[in-house]
Amino acid sequence: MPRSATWLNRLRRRPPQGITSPQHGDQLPHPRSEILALTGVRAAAALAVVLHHIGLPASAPEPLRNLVQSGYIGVPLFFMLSGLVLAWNYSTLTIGSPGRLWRFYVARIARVMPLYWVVLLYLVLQRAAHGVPQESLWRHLLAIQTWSGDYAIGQASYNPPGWSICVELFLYAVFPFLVPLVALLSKRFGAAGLLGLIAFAFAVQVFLVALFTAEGWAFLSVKDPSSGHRWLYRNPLPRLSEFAIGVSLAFLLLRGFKLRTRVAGWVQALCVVVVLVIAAAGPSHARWMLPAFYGAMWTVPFAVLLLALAAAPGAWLSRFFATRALVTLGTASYAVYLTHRPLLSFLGKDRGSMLADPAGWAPYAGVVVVAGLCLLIGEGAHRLIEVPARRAVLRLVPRTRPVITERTKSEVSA
Amino acid sequence: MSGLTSVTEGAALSHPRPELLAATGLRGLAGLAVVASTVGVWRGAPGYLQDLITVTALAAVPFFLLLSGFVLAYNYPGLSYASGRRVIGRYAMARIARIVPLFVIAGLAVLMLGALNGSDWVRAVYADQTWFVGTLVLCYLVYPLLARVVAAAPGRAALVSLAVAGALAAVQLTTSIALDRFPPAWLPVFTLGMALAGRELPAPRWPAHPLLVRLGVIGYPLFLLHALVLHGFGPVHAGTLSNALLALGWIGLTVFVAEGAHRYVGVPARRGILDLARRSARL
Repeated sequence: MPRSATWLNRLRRRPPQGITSPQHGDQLPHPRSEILALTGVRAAAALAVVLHHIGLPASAPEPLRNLVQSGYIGVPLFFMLSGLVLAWNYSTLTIGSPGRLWRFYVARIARVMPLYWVVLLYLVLQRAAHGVPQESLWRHLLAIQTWSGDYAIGQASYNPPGWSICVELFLYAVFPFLVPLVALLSKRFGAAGLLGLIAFAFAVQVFLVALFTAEGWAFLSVKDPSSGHRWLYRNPLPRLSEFAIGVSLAFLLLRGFKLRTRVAGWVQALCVVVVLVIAAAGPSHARWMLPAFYGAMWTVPFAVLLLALAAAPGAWLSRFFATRALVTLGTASYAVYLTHRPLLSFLGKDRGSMLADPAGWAPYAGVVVVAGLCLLIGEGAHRLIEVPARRAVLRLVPRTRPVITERTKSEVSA
Repeated sequence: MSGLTSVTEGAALSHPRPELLAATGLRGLAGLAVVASTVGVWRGAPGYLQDLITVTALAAVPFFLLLSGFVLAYNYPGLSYASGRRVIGRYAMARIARIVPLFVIAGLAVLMLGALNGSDWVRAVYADQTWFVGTLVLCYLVYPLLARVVAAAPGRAALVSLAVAGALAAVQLTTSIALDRFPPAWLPVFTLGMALAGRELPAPRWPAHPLLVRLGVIGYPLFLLHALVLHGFGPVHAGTLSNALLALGWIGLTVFVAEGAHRYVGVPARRGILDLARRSARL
């Protein structure tokens, strides 16, 4: 039945092009259409991280400051989303097929590394220009810095968000080993097996939070090599939980999991409210909450939200995130994420300086303009570096026909 | 390759002739020279490089205006205020769609940042741009008045334009009268561009390189935003190779911002306004 002409449909008049479209540098065939709502949700995640780094003035209401301060949760969302999207596109990947494995790894490198290296090169030059010695550059070049116990190396030098790229690379490396196991679980035990895996992964997160709280490690300084920040937040190993949950969600979808539009709409609203309320309350109310805020606190609402977005394209939030504007921002979200942090220090608008700003409307306007500038630079970096580099690297991959084709003419991209 | 008149760049109206990509590429080169000269790191560079960049940047504004006259005469030959409301309306909408949205949005951002940094800051990052856009608007208004006259005798129009431009340059250089900020003083350069459109000019291939064309496509936001970006990020000091390399990074950032502004503001706004123009023309 044709849908009524709402403002959301008017926004979708021109079909958006997602990350897997040739316009954004992809040249490999994919078995299924891109779930555009999940591309759009990246925009929200990246913007949350940008705002987290910009911060709000001290005069802002506390819940609003907490909300912005919790913007880092975009990163755990990215990890789960990564698992979901990869499994959606490579559900039959195994380590037994070297050709496909090669294509997978080259595609991953093409997607994340060129821009990472360009930003790193820029920061290396900046250090050289200011006479600052280079430190552990080789770790940053190889994107293995976050494995270091030294916080200065792991997260505080060169491009701070680079730590999560290091985590992503680890997750990419593990993916071809993980996905056949999840596929087997799905085949043998059906949805119950997948839900069991999700519950197990979440239980591991809860166990780690409990352990680090009981031992007191969670409250050590971030610079301490035994701190919760190191082992629960920036170490790649615990991030496997979110990633495995994302992979399991994809297999649930592949098994035909659907939600009725109305139900999905309510579920999406509930998830958004839960996340906003917890984030606005902030971790300062209860000491035990701190380690949970590194990831476990968000796992359930994020998993349900992603599932509801993907399983019901007609629900209100799915349609919102699949609008052209959000998908466009989502396609550039990686570049925004990677470029924004060094820029903020140049602009003097990182969290420290914004907190010292006076009251009034001007600091808020400054936040809007600076965030807008980050989005513009991200889009430019995406179009002028990420896309051409991705295209160039993917030319190395021999063309093959897709294994399965679920695409129809009416579908937009992939 | 997608130039300024392609649908992907927001051009929703048909154009009578194919785009001269070499002209778009030259626009990109001039835009890049303006940005490079503003970075300022070249003060420590060898003399010949400094001179090259300074001269190219100085020539950029007259070149933009010359090119503007050339491209308008190429795309709207024989346009006049007597051409009818529909034709003039399309011309006006196309000009508005091209320059107004980006100017307004960037201006609002500058004013907001000015509230944080003071009014001198606004003058430093947007005065030249406002002057240039004002001059461009004057040229656009004058074009329908002069198009047929110039097209009827392009050679004579070129000679007259050169003579007037030369006389004005002499006044500027020999007296204390500052004409360079007086928009009508730039009309001879614009008219010269119009006159050249009637000639068969040799078009070299190298300016049509995709990279230069891309820079040409984002040339307008590049010009509007370069001072804002470079001023916002602070100066790069001259004297060392690493600083010079860093300056290249600064230029790269400016190009990124311009590309982003083109994609997020320029293209959708141009498309929206031109869609509106097309629909109202159908009614």
